[in-house]
Amino acid sequence: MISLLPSKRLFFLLFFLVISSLASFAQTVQGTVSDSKTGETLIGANVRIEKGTTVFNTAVKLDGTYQFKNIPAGSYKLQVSFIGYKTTKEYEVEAIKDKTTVLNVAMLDNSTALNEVAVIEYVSKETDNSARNVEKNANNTMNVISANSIALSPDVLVSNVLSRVSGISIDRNNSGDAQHVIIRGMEKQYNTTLINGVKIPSPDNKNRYVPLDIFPADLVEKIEVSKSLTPAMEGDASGGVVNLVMKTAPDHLRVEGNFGTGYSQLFFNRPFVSFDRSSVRSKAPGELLPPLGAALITDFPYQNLVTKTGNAAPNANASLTVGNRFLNNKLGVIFSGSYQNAYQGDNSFVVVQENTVGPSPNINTPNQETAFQSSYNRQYSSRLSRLGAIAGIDYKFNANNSINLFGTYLQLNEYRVRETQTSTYSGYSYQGYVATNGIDNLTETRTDLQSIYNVTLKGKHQINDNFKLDWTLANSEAGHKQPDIATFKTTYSTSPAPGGTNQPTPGNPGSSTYVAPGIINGPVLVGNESRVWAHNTDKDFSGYLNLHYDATIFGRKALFTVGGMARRKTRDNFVDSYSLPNTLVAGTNNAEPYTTVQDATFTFANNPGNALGSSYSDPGVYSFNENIQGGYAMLQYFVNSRLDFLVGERVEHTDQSYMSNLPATFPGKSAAINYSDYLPSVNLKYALTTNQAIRASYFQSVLRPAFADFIPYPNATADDPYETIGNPYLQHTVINNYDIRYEFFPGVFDEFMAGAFYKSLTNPIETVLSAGTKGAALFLEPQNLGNAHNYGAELVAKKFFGNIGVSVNYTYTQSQITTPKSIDIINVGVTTRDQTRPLQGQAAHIANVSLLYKDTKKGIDAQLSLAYTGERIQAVSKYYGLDTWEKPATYLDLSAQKELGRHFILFAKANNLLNTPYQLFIKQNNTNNYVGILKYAHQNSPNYTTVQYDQYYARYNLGMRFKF
Amino acid sequence: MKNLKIISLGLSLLALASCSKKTDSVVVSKPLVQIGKAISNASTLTAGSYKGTFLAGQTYTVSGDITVNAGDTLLIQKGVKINMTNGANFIVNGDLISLGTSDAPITITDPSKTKQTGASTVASDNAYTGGWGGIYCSNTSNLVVIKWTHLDFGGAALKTLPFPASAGLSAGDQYVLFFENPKGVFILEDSWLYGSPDDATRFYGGYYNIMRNTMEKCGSTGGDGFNAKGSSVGNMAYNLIIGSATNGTKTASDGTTAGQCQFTMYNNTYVNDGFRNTGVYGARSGSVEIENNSRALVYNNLIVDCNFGVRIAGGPGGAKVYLADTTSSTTALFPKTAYGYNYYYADNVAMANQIVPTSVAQPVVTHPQATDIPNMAALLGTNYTFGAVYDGTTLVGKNNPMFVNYSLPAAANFWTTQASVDSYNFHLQAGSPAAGKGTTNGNLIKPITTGIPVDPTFGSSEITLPGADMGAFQLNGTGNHH
Repeated sequence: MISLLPSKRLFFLLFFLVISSLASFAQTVQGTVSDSKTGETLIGANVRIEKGTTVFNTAVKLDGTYQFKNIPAGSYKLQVSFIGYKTTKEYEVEAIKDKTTVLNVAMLDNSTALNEVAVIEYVSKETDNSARNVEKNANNTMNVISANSIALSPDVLVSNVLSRVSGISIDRNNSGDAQHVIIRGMEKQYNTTLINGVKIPSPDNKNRYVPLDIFPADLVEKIEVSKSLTPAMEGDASGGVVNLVMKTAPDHLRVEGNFGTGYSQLFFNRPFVSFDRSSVRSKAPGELLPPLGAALITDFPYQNLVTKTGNAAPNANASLTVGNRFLNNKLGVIFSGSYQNAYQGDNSFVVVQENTVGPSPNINTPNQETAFQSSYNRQYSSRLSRLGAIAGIDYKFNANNSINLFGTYLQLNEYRVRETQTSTYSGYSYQGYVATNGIDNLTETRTDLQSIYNVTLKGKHQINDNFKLDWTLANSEAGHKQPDIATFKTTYSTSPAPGGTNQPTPGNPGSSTYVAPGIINGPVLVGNESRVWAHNTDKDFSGYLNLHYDATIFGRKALFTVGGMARRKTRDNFVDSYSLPNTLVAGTNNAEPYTTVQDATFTFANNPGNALGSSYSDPGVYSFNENIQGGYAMLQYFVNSRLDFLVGERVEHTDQSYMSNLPATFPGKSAAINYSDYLPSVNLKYALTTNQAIRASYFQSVLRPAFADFIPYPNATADDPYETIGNPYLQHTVINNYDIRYEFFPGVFDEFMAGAFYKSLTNPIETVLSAGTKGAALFLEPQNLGNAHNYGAELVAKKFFGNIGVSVNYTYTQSQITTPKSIDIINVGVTTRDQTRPLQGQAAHIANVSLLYKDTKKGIDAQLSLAYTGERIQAVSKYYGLDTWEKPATYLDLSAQKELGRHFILFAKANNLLNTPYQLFIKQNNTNNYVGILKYAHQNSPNYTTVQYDQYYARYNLGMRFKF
Repeated sequence: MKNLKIISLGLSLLALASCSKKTDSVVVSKPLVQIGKAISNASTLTAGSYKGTFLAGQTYTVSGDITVNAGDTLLIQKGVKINMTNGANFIVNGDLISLGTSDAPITITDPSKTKQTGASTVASDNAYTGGWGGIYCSNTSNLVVIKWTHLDFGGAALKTLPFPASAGLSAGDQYVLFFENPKGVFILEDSWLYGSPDDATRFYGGYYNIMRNTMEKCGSTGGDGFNAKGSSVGNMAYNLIIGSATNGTKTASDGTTAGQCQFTMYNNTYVNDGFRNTGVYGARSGSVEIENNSRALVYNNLIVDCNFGVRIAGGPGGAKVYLADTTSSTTALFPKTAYGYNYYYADNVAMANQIVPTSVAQPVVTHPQATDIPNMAALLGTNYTFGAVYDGTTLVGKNNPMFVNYSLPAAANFWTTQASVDSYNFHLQAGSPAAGKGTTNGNLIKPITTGIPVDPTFGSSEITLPGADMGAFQLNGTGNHH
């Protein structure tokens, strides 16, 4: 303990630095006033305090609190009155010099026959107040979002809610929903997702991280984001842990829910494209045929490639939660279900980068990659159907023993049409742009069926006054099926019309470019057809046991905890792909002219090998086993009334193996990987006052590579323009994390937090746009590039001013890694030089600003939210200076609600009001792509090259919430 | 008829008798080279690892991939016929030596396919679909020697990668020859490549001598003939390339980390190349393509009825990407990309308009050369800027090279369908305007010898020097012996 004293002094120093600008306090009495049944805050209620002849009155403010500031010290009587409620009795409350006294009052409405009760520490778990309490009391650095915040925010998915937490940035899927979180610059793989504290497997076909857009926000009671780990937590989260606490059984009958509708601006602007799903075959020919059996063309129905354009139907969403307690409150039951059917999409433009760069004059000048051979214009039309259901039963045997059985089922079905126009660029100019030699049109229809189910049984037992234990058994399975990703292709040539002029080629003296007066289109021909079936399952069985012992050391409370866990994970992957050769017009070199999808003919006659499918030798067919055993011991010790610390160590042993269908002649057909990690952790909390504290923590954590990260085989099922390929030699990452945070909760709803963090990463895994030797093609490959540092600061503040509240969070992150990069120099050839850059995915600046408006008289709430993510590296280039960056993005969302009577709330939400594009770019000279006669589309500057430009457009939601 | 034969035989004998030499004419049989154990042809060779020797004159049937392990050698003696079924490949992680002779060439083919003469289209000719697979050599393969060998009907799609993807292959690829070891040696001499669906060859690194070969019908609706990438260096000379879908010979330093792609291309004959890439206009197709930071010396080539002439590619928008390396270097195998003394014949104005390729299909940095026939520098004038579109009407049908047996001018669009040699003969007639117009000036063009061993078994038979007659067939009998 003695060793802690110097740091205590340090804390005081920090405290003065941070606090000196804040007002000093005198004695204050404050608290909240709420409905004792519903927990809703009773804004406008009158609070009166009286000491002799001194009487003060105040109303409960818009933030649900009342406050008497700077009143004379002494003993007061406090009473609350409100229309429709019984006036409370007179409570005794002490105003202590230079202290704040809190008294929270719950009122009974007039219909209640019982006597009113003064409720101390009674808070409904779903209020912001409760969320703040969790933050205040947590052992580690944590942010919490309550269901009320979720309901009021413009978001319908958990992932969108998370994007508003400090230090969190997100990446989006092709329908514009946030899909994964990046916490404090740590990419999605560094973060884990829990349901009720239990880690769940991912339906993702490549990764461990769970796509958060599968979770409807309706099912969630609160979301806890832990940014530091205690030894009791699994050690594979370095950025943070997202714990989704699902709704639990209430104290009394509760029926609530919502229903609503919505629409995407995108489908006001262009039609929605759909396909006939009824003919989609759930199994690949390779699964139905004997090994090496030949498929027939008729095994690939054309019907699911026939698309239909029309108007998207309005979105629909509904949810219902019913819960109650029975048997003298011993048995609690809750059921919650949510259904969403949404039509989403985006328009995307990509210029395809290739592994070819122009030579550079010297080692300090980056190569140029300004010339591209092709680009994609893509339009996505997705129907997303989400189903979520939770059911929970808890039973309290007695005060000391309880068990809880909890089930979760989540399903996300996506039916998507992706229309791609691929332009192959030429050397001539047309209408100021570099013209094309040919256009391919590809229609891909696909079905993605994702699901997660989890059953968790938990028990808590208080053995005696000092000793208690809890245990958890969890069984989970995540699945993802992609039956028949089908792509139909047509192609035509485009050639310059005669009669044009020769004009000087911009930037290339002595050279001429032909400027065509028109374009001559060739006939539209049928190309090869592609069909892919893929599915994967991820099964987890895990058990946890924690033993807690409360002791007293030197007269102070000490909590000893030891525990262990084991998880057995089995993952299976399957893929079977086919290419259906097109047919040619007899006696010509020309492919069959396109008339309709139905009439297009394909044949295996000349390519019998194509009829076999890939599955028998495709390493995308693999099984992966992972056994993890963890154990820990930790001690939380309360040194004095202000200081407590938590120290301990965790051991995790990882035992992995996979077996793929790669041919035996390949390295990496199978692998076995073992390692043990010893992960120390220290968390300190020093309370400066009752509502201010300083926390500091150190912990070590790991990152285990994803399953597909190992398998050395290209996978083209992602939407990336590049295939991904695994790397069996990947090392797991070990991370040292240091955190310090100052917290201040000046009011019940006001908060201020400031923190700083430092992380050092050994063997971080990054996605590198790397080359095989296959010509110009690039692969996205996970690699260990060296060691990295990541440090930063974050700030969270929330304050109400009358009807208006402001919530701000900001994170600055500086990460740094130095790796060798290639550079191609004239007369030298390809050599390497070091480049220092931020970690992939890490934005230096992340900020969220929300403006909140509450008019309690009219029952109106509104929130305007702005989320900013600064520029960050999307993919690391193997070339010096040619990394692909994501442009800074600012998203603006608006939501509003109005109470209609006591049971109904009408709400409206609008997302992405600015139609913020997702933009990727390369920092290089772009003059000749931006101006002149050989421009590329979607270029915004002579100073950088835009390589991707996606637009999602705004989305609108309207609905009604009810609560009985 | 019979009498006539007897008479002619008698006359021949008489002629021989009358010119008896001072030394006896002795033909001593060369020893057959055998490595390791003989491989029996008693039964079909199933998929597996093989080393040793395919014995001379024997016919083998292969039903699955023949893998040569690293460190092992597989040798094929003269006259061997290998019938490949089930789209089988040679997967070469060690060394492969195919030693045919002019008298007893080796044939590797798909027995289910037969060659078709005359007009050929992708729809009607099974040369473009791939029968057996290819010879795929990984980066542990140090030496591949293929001499006097027919490689017919290769290019069936790879069902799976033959070795790790770092090698730069994908399942579905359809090449006949693939070699990537930057330190390895690849010799292809006096051989025949007939038919392929995509690029007939993909060379990603190593030392090459690609000489005196005949290539027919390579590439279906796309694909180049001899396509060298990566850090490959060497010679492509004295080849006859007819009916290639896109280019005949091509270099690009794609994907290189080991060095620059550098080739000499001289005395090749290109006929009817670049017309089957129908889906994409231009498609960078023609005869010779030098692009993407590679460098080449291109001289003495005879280019007849090809879609485009020798193209030195440029980068779009003034950028350097795809730009051939046209800078001077003291460290490269030759100082600077250079070209000239190339001979063109074009039967229509579209081809004549691209003897000096213009920027319509892709940016170029090709300068018209005064040493070319026709003299394009004189025709286009001193103010010509490269890439500019010009009118080549006056060049149509000019400079007939006078092949021994191939009618020029050809019938309209004959060049789009005649993709094989058949009974034609692309030797020059004595008195051809293409005879003697090439250069043998070693300061302009000489072959790369660095890294290329010369050996009757384990190397090149002969690195033939540039010849004065345009194209692959020299009037003095040197060059291409087909």
